[in-house]
Amino acid sequence: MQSNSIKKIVIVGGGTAGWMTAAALSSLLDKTQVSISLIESEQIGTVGVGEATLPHLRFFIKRLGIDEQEFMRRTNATYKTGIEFINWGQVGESYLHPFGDFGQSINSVDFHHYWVKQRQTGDKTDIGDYSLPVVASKMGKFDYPSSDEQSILSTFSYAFHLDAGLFAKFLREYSEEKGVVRTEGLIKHVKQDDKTAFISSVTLDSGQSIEGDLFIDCSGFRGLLIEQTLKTGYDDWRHWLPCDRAIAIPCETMSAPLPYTKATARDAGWQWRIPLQNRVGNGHIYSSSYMDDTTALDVLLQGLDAKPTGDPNFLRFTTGRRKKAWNKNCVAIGLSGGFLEPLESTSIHLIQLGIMKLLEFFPDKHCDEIKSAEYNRMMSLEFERLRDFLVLHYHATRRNDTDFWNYVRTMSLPDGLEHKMELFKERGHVVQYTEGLFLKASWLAVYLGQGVIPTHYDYNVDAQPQAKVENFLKQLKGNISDAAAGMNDHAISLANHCDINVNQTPPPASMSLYGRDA
Amino acid sequence: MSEHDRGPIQNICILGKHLHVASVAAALSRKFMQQNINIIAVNTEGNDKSVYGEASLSALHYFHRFLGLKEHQMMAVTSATYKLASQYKRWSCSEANDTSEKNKHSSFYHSLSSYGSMIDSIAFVHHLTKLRQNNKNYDFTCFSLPAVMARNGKFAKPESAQSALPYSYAMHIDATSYAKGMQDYATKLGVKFISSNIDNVQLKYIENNLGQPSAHVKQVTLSDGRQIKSELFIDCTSDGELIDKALNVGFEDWSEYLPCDRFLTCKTELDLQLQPSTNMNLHKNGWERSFPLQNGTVKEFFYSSKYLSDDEAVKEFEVNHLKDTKILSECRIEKQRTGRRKQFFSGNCVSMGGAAGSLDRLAVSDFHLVQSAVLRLIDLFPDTSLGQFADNFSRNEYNHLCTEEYARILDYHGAHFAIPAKEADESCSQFWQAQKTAILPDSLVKKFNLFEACGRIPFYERETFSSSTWVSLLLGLGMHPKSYDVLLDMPPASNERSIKAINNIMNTIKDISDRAPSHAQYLRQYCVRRNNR
Repeated sequence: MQSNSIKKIVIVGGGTAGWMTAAALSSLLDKTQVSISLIESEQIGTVGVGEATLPHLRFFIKRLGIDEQEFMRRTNATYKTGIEFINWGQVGESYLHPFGDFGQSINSVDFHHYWVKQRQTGDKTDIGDYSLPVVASKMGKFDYPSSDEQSILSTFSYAFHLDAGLFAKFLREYSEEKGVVRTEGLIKHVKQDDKTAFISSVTLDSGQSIEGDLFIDCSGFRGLLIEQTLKTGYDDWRHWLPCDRAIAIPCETMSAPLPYTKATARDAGWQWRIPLQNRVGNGHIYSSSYMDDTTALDVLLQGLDAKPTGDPNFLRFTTGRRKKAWNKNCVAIGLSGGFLEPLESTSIHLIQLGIMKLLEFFPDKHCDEIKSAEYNRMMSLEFERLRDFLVLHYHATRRNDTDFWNYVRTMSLPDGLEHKMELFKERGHVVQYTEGLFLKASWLAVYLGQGVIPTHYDYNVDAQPQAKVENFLKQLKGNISDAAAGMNDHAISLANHCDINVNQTPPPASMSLYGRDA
Repeated sequence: MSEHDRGPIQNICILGKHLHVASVAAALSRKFMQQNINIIAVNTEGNDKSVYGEASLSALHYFHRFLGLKEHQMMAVTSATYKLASQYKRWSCSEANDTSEKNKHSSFYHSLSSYGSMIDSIAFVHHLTKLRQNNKNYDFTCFSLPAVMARNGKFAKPESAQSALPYSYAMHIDATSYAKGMQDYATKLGVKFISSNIDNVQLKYIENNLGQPSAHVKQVTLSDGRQIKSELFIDCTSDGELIDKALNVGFEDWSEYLPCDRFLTCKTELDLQLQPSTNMNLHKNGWERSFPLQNGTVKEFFYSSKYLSDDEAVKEFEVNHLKDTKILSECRIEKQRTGRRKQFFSGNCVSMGGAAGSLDRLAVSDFHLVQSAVLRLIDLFPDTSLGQFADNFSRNEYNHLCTEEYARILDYHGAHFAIPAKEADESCSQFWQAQKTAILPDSLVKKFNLFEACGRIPFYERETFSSSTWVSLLLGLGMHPKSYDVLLDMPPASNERSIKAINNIMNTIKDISDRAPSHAQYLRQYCVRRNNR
């Protein structure tokens, strides 16, 4: 044991963030040395509905020693290999952003340059036809990715659609088994140390006082500790991401679940469709400056494929980021740390990242600023890069049919994003970075999917004989389509993998979005 | 600006130091071998003797693969030896110049492969930190296979070493023959080489999309009277004849962080064993290094002229290093001004190597920076619209990436001075006492602080060295974290488990190293130049 080590951790708030944190800390920390308590109130609803996730979540549940198939059974999960974006570039257009790359580089020139040249010569093949997960998704197919790196079937990775309420419940059981103490109650008072302003204890409506060395704020948008107590401050990003309301509602499922999420652009926002095993999660995210709640609900209901199975849940939020996710002895994880709309399914991922980084920079009682500053720097960077990627979806549009779309199409952009887009438009160059979630393949999917096509391709493409390139592309497309057709239907894989009597081992999990190439 | 004004660049002119001009020419000619592009390479610095040899990074292999060159041919042609590590001897200012061997404990072999491995999903450094707090200290060199092999004078290829342990290597090369080899390569691919000095550089001013005139190089007149016009100029001269003297882009001075402004270089007969490592020593007025080639030993001394005159430097160097050996190439003194150009790429002129700046040569030299620069230029290759836009994508991005690359290497080199300077006291030289009070780059301070706090390296984009290489450098140079990963206090982790795993790693490494052939033997067998020298 190192001196001054943390003995008591208090997590404020249940929900996905609270229970993911509790589960990870209780699984990885030494409970003979550290006690973990979680305070939540049944009076406060949680935001989580049907949630789409990213492949990284598999790494998280694996690290916690959770069986993937049991996890799927318990959370009504289905598989997800991408997101379909409908009506984003223009009404009537759609594309898939897959967990995988497009094609492969030829003579060390990126694939998309060849695609751009083909397009200039009149070949209208969709870039998605060169991606296995795109083609397979459209056919409703899913199998585990192949472990044979030579196989085209290894060129993707996968995540889940899950019921966030059930996920929290599952993790609650897991955490309580590992010794996390749950206390029911509302927090009435927060006590801070006179000298350091560190949080020393919270008092519940029952009068009970709970002390702690480290407090994790999972209280949601309001940031009970990080904001209401510590006044950390918030960067409001609504001028770039103007949606500030959401309505969520489940509906019946009428067909076999799709292995992908749908995000359909609407007049003042967009609507999600997340298939679970037994129902479909839906929601409409919109900007209150451009649409009122009644209209928004109508739009949502009209966009459902079947009868609703519950009441609409109205939510409000402010897109942006807490100025410091970690302030004094309080770390904000989940919505208390910032909110980015779930357009690219990043909510659970940001929770996971917050937890993993906290473990990396785990403090002692003094919460040394050297560590928290690096934690905050990393989380800020992640938020900003995510933000830019989300803003791209709104800005890279030709839509001019509503005031909302006119605004986002013409708004001024965050520093650096304009530069990134210019580089791509001009020369098909995707700005690369190493730390960050969405890398080249994702930027390509959105650029090309939304009609941002480079004016020039890399001149080195001309060095390859045209006939050779065309032949290669034709073959690749054929291979992908054949391989996809040979995969199992999503529903069959789902039934197999969730069958308690069938024991299939999922492929290794990694902290990457794209499978083998990343 | 209309579309039809732009197209591929047809003419490229590279000017400057032979070694760099030839490397750049080789890479560009390889890239454009199937296009009809006219490349002229001008060696403006004659029979250059400013460096006799270069110690590379393992990135060299990537460059050679890009060119399609076979390694054993390169080894033979350039009289090269393998480099597995840098040996830091007496890297502390109280020991600087203490030639006695009593301070052996401070000798550390730094390889560029990671040391140790994760144990129970927890990084190696934390295990060492925890054990150190329990008074158990290890010889850090023992945890890297290439470092141990370097210490034992061994060499083998990773594939024949038959282990999954991290293993990378680099080379020491003879600069003159390397330059000649690159020239031969580029010549075969159609590059025209000229040897002549620059007489004058003529500019032209092009009005860009913002209505501002921007300076471009129109042509270069050589002392033999030839005039070379080109759409793109690459300045590899030592002093930045184009980028600085003609385009005047400005210089960011880094002499506060990297204080050596002179270096002395000399080649002697092969008086070192054929060791697969570079020797690095601190000196009371700078630092020294030496490394073997197949045909001799390169010895260099980097110092500050503020504290040591050139005459004194030569005298001292002769006494310390040249007494009992045969000198093959004369001692030369070169100036270096540490820092970088404010713009690496301005107008239609790209600067590389000395023209772009100088970062001293502690781990990365111009030799590597030039190769890295030309590959970057190829990746972002501009077209003929360079003059039309104030914000040209190639130029902006090239400048941005180089700026970050140089800043990160500045951190890495800066650490070599800053760490020993921390403990400088009155008994140390003025040079080191001055270093103690030098202000460090903010990013380096962050690295030191976070590492000392918890054994981690803060993240920055575009590091030349991975975070595990940073960790091993800092540990090797004697910096130790105050705390370790909290997960290490959680079962199943325990000191006994850590010790067992650590011993395992050490033994495996020792076994592999013991079985490997000596470096000299390996070279004799595979890499000796067959024809006469």
